[in-house]
Amino acid sequence: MEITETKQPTATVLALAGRLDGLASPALEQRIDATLASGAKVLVLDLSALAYVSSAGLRVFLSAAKKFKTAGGRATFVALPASVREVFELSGFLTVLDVRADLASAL
Amino acid sequence: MSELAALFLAGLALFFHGVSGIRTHLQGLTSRRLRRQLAAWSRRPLLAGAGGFLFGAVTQSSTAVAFILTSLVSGGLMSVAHALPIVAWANLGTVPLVFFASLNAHLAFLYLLGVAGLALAFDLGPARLRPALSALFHVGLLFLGLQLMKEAFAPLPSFEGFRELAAFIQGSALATFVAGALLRVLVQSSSAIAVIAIALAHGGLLSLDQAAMMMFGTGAGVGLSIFLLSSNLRGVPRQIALYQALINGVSGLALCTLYYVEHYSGAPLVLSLSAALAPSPDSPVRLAYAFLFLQSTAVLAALVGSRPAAAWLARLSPPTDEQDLSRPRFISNEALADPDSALELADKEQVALLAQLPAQLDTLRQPAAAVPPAVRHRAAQTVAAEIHAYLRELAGQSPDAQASARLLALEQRHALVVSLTDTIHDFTAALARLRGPGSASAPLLDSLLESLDTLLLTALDTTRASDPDDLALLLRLTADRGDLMERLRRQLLASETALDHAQKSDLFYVTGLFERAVWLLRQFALAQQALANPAAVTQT
Repeated sequence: MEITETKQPTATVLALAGRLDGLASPALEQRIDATLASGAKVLVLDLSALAYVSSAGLRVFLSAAKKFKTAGGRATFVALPASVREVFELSGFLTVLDVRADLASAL
Repeated sequence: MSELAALFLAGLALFFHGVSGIRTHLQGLTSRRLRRQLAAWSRRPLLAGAGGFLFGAVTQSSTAVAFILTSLVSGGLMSVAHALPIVAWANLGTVPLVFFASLNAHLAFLYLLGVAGLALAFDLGPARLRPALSALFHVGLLFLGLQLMKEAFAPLPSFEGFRELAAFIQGSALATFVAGALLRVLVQSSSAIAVIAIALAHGGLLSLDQAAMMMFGTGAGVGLSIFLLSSNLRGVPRQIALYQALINGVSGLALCTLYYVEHYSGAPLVLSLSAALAPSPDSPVRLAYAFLFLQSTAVLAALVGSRPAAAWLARLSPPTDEQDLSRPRFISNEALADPDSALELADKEQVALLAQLPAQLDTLRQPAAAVPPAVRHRAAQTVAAEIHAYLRELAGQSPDAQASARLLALEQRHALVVSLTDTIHDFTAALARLRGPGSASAPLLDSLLESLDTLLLTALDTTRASDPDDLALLLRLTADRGDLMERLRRQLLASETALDHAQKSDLFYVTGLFERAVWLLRQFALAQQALANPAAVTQT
């Protein structure tokens, strides 16, 4: 999985591409922790190129939302492909996470 | 001659029906109590011996005792090292029957049969005594069968065929030793063969020495039969079976050797000792003593070799994955004396059972490396049954109001964990069937799998930390899925034209199981809330 980081004036954007499975999840978690440690208050995860997400990846998403909320910020998930949206819906994530249609609406 | 054969056959049938009836009815009466008692006694050598003797007397089969102990070892109630001496002493428990059979008390047993049979036929006496009455009735049947066999043997010496057979055997003790071993393989009860040997000696078909050697042959026969029958056993059951084979084989061969040493050297050994204990030369009690010596030697072999045998058997036949997974990790009988500790352990055991469920789902991702789902499920059912029995045991101890409230909450949660275990097993099995390569529905099935796994792991989070946010999160994540699942099913009907009716039906089934699992996880979250505040359960 590839992670591309972009600094925006109001947020840090992590764009994920490929498969987020049990092997890739620890790397993403480390990246999110580093972003939080750098003082960022708003994290945007751009999932438009994400082909697959496993339970381990979903748990990293939940954990990210919790950590940023605890730090007084927020984590937002944008541009979900249909397959990822389906997993979010089945897992109940659409009711607990901040999910938006595109990057612009999250910034 | 055909009349005698019919008499013998009827006697044999009554005898074995009697043995089986005693076992069935006495086990129904006491097995639960004995199981608990045995587990408690297993750590004290003397009590373990008494328990094994009692269990052997009740079941009349050290093999049956071995299987019951296997379930106790698999259930984590005792170790293999503690179980082995009990198996050994169970051999000795089969001896009293042989002593009874050697006494000429058939009139007393006829009365027993009559009184117990009439009481059963006319429902006399309290209902709770029926298992004991049934057992007594079968004791009567057993001895009636024995009497019929004796009557069948009595005229044998006057027949020409018998004289020819006797001439063929020519008083050979070795022939009867081999016959005893082979009969033990066929009949599977040493005490039954010992009783038959007494009847044969009583009928004049065998000399006392030959009958004793037939009994010694059963020791070697146990070894032989277990080596033949244990090839399909694995892990702990195989360890216990091999141990039984070893001690019985050693005792049978040892007594056979002693017989020949005594026979050729004239040194007073087993037969002389039997004769000293029962001086009358044609007394069948002598044979009962010979059987006692055989079983005592097995116990002696066990006492000498239990410790090294346990280590050797563990290396030879280590526990299987199923046996490992079937063993409770936390609950213990000792903790039952302190309800608070026992509740804490039951709580941990339930959580450990729940923690096995993601591994069940993981078998879909790594089918080759994983323990098969059916094995995992059987193991989970075993642990669940142990937890249930543990909670029942606690409930029977009249806990105080606080412990009672917590116990209720745990019982409630246990029912949910058991239902979840079954649902996840069915879900895993259905997905394994449907997720073939190139399956049109694979993306949806993957989504269902990963979503359910996530929800399960989130449920586990609520058990590990007492963060109320985790519980609130689980409740929100497990909100009603009815509309969503209905929409998914309609989409399936409309879009998956490549699927035939059976495949669509399977997909409906899987989505139904998913919906049920989510509902159960929501109930689990509510049960967690009740556990965090058990007093509220009793107030509502």
